[in-house]
This record gives sequence, C-alpha cells and structure tokens, in this order.
Amino acid sequence: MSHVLYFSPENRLGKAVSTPGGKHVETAIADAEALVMLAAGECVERIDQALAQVYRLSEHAKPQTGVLYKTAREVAGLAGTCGLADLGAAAFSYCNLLDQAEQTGRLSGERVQVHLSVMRLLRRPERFTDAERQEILADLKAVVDKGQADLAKVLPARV
Amino acid sequence: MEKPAINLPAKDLLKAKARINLERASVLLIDNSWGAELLAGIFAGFGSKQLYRCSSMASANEIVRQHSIDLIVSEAMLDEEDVYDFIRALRLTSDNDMNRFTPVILLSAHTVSRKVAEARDCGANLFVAKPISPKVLMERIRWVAGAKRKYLETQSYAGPDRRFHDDGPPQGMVGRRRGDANEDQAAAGAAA
Repeated sequence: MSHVLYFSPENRLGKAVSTPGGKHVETAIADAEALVMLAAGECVERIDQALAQVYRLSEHAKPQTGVLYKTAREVAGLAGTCGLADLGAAAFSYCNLLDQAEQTGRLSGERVQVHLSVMRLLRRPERFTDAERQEILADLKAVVDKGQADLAKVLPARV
Repeated sequence: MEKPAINLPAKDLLKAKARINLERASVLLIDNSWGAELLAGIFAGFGSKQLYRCSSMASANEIVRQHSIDLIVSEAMLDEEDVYDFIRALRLTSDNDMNRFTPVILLSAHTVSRKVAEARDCGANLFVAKPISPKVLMERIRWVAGAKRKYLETQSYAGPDRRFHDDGPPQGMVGRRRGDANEDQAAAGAAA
C-alpha cells in the first residue's frame, strides 16, 4: 500500500477569476472567437505552408518521420480552427500512421500516398458534400486500423 | 490520444450571465508553434492582462522561478524539450513552492503512443485536444478554477488527485491507499 501525502492548497486561480469585474462568460467567448476569426487568413496560410512541407517530406524514399510527424501534427492542431476540420482529421490520421511507423520501423508507401491524396482533396472541402467527406475519412480510418492490426501482430512477437 | 474519461460537471460552466475575471490572474502560455498566436488571442479575448508567453522550457523555468503564476497552459510537445518533465519538477519543487500547485492545462493535437503514460502521470490537471476553441477552453478554465481537488504526492506521482469519484476499490481488490475503503465497504458502496 502506497504512502500518500495530501495537500489542500489555496486555489489562487479560483480566487482571481471570481473577483468583481471581468466579463460575462458569453462576452469573453465571443471576443475570443472574434480574434480567432481575424487570424483565420493567416492560419490558412500557415496550414498551406505546413502542408507543402508534409508533401515534400513525404516524397522522400526514407522520410524523416520525426519532422514529418511534427508538421502533420501542426496541421491537425490548426485546421479545425479555420474551417478545415476534415483536413485536420486526415492530418491526425497521418500522425497515427507515422506513430505506428515509429513503433514498427516500417512506413508503408501506399498508406502514405493514400493520406497525401486525402489531405489534398480535403484542403478544398467545398468540392464535396458532407457525406462524401465522411466517406473519405471512414476509408482513411480503415487504412490506419489495418496498420494497427498489423502492429498488434508484430509487437507481442518482440516482447 | 484518447480524451480523458472525465465527466466534467458542465452545468453552469458556460452560463452566459456568469462572470469571469482573468485580468488579475497571471497566466503562462508555453508554445513554440504558430498556434501560440491563436492561444494568446483567445486569452486576450477572455480579458487576460497578465500573460507570460514563452516558447522553451528554459524560459518557462525562469518564469515560474520568478513569478507567481495562477494558470499554466502549454502545448504538450515542444520539439525535443519535455513538458512532462517540467510539470513533474514543478509539482515536486520544495525550495520554491510558489507554483507547486498551479493548475496546468496541456494542449495536444496528437500524442505518440510512447508518451501516453507519461502524459497521464506527469501531474497536469487537464488535457485539451487541439484544435482549441474559445468555448472549450473557457469551459476547462472555469472547471479548473472551480475544482476542489486535493493534490497528492506518492513515490511515483505528484499532482492533482486523479480520482474523480471515490467509490472504493473494485470488487475483489484491495485499495491502494491507506484511506481506501476495504472490500466489504466497496461492495456495500457498489450495491447502494
């Protein structure tokens, strides 16, 4: 049984945020959303730069998966903020694929190409209906799930 | 990374007429990506006036040594620098307790498998999945500000109590803490 020390510290944040003044929660959220909207154009530019880097790095015969992962992760973290949530989902899926590759030491060129194609498609979401975009993402998920199943076969054998 | 299995008491957290005053709260933002601009914008919109921004662990360490910080919001993966180590060190600091219990919200677009356990055990208060939205971030800030969780320190963990409910240990198992209910009490609790 572990020895546990308990502390009940003063909640400074709680005290600070409840002092008189400040904003209504609704106003604070609206103000923040307005500032995010102002930055949307710059955000899309940043995504396009990151995407260009993802495409370039991915074309290498042996991509630097660390840098690639970091860049895909940036797309995943930003895209949903500026109306490109499905692109963000595809980038997140690519992060999963690269994470699998780090564990197995193998990166399937075909799976990489599928992700690149999907990210190119979803960069222009207006060309598809919601249903079509969801179908594309479901197919992408199936590709990564297959990789996960392969990984499960490999990893126990290494233990 | 999977979303944490936490049922946040969302009731009242986003009540439109509730007020929040972040003007006097000192907030440290740690991020080295372009997303840091968005994050700073969101806090500016919330009314924050005491924002410390940094993009490296060295700067973050310097700030927490010199200033009393009420909230830390950090990107979970900063290149090669380890945010989890930073939080662990913060929670165990004994020579300078100023920020030992400062709530930490980690932001992450994706967590690599080898880091999931570290992320869970580092002592952060909450994880928020990117892309961040002002609404979600506000909800989490208000939740952390209103939380009455104790902090605890064991041989392997220091940070906020990760137990959100105390229903005793699972049936057939012995509790891991001295104050845990025994098996019979747990069974009675489960039956109640």
